[in-house]
Amino acid sequence: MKCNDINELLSLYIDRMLDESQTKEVEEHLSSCDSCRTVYNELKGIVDLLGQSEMVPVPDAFQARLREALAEERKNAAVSGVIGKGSRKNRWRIITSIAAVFAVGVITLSLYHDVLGILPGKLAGEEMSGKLSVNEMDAAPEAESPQDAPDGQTNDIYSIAAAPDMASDSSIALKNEQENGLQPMSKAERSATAGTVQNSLTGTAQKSPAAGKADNAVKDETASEEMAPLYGYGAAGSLPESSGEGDGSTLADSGEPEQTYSMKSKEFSANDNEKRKTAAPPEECSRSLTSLGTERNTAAIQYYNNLIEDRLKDFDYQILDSSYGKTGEWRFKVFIFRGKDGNTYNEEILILGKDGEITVICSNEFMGL
Amino acid sequence: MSADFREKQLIQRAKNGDENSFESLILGCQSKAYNIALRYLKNEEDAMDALQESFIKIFRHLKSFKEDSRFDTWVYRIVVNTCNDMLRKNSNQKITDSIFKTEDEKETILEIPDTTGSPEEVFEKQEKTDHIISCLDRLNQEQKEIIILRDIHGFSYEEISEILSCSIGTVKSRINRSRLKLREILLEQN
Repeated sequence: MKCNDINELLSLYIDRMLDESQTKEVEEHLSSCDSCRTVYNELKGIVDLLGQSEMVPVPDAFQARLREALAEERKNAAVSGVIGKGSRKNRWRIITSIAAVFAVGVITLSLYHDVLGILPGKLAGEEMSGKLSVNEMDAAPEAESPQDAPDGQTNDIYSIAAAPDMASDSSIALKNEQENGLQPMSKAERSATAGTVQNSLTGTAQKSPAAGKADNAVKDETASEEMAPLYGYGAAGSLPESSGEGDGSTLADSGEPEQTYSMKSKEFSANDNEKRKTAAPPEECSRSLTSLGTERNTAAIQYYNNLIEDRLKDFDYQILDSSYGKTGEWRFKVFIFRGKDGNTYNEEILILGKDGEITVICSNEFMGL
Repeated sequence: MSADFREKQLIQRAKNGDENSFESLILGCQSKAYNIALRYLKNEEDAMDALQESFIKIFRHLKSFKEDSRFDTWVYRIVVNTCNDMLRKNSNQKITDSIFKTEDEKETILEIPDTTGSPEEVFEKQEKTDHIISCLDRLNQEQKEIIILRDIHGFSYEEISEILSCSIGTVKSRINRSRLKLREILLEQN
């Protein structure tokens, strides 16, 4: 065996890791080779010295540190044991799901109320008329939950607040409406819309003074449901009668005009509301602007369409056009083909809608209008 | 009751959450583990950090410990890995001061030490030992760790192969090369 081979085995020889024959070979070589023996002695010296190195004691501070760290680890382990890894993942899933549902809900509500004003006029109008229809057909029950009230109140305030602004043309809300291609609602329509909500608010024991007065005016208790617009009208009546002239009085200013409006609305409710309950929905009315698709389907137009339909139920007619005047009234051009007497007229008449009532302007007294 | 049986009982209890059994287990290898960490990291504070981190890891993963290997070997393996991780992390950040003597104290040590015990000789021997240990830093990490495990702490080849997760053949050749390299370094210094 050569010196290089012996050098490879020296460590194993020192550590007694060689078998007998290898050990014998190494020992024989070391006894005859000075250089290899020197290497062996040097290596053995290093190994022996290193083996005698002293052990350093563990610092006393370590035990306290370790106990503290272990206590913390046990606490964490207990918490993670309760929650579990899978549960943590699930918890995040639940949180993100809730967040997603919430976001969808907020977006849906925003679109529903058209808070951002991003819906096309047609869609927004349909939504509003839909509300009116619901309000008219299904008066809010008296025991309506109070949780619904704030939302309704918001709509109420919105509608009422918008009414004087329509005249002054200064309201942002009005501008938005106009920008969206919507004809602003008249005060009456807005109050009619708000009425049901107001009814739900005041239906139990919180009726406003105006509503209270109106309520007294109607003795028949069964009429109270139909008086839904009345309450709203009373509330809206607190708006100055002269709102059309741009007087932006507040609700606190309600006085005389309030009664006037209440009486008007009573009249309107008693006579017309019952009929409107049974009236065909606007989609089915072949003579309305809705069916022609020529009108902007706002709640106001919808409302006046119903009144016109009631008034002209025995006539053969067609509503040609609608417009909103600066004085706060709606103008409907109506073409009368045939009168209720069966005579053919083929004349155009004008119907004005204001404060929830319609006035027929017709030069032909034979028509019976 | 044999030591192995007692250790297995302690492991079982510790796995079931018995804190005293766990502390008894790690107490048995704490001193050696600390000294390994101290040789690796050359700093008491770092060594304590490594030891604490290692024991926390052991606590966390005790249930995954397979009892076909020895508990202390498993512990040292974790300590060595933790030290290597810390060295890697600190390699570009920190230059630690060796707790051992510097290279200023050069002297010829390549003589076979005698075993006589006069105070002077003991002192001289200790100085030589410290000098050799300081020269370990000139080895690469692989060579250094195998010298620490084999020559300073006296682990068997089998234990080293378990601790370092390598074959016995690798351990054999690595030990021989490392010792020859350390001898070269010491000769250069002379």
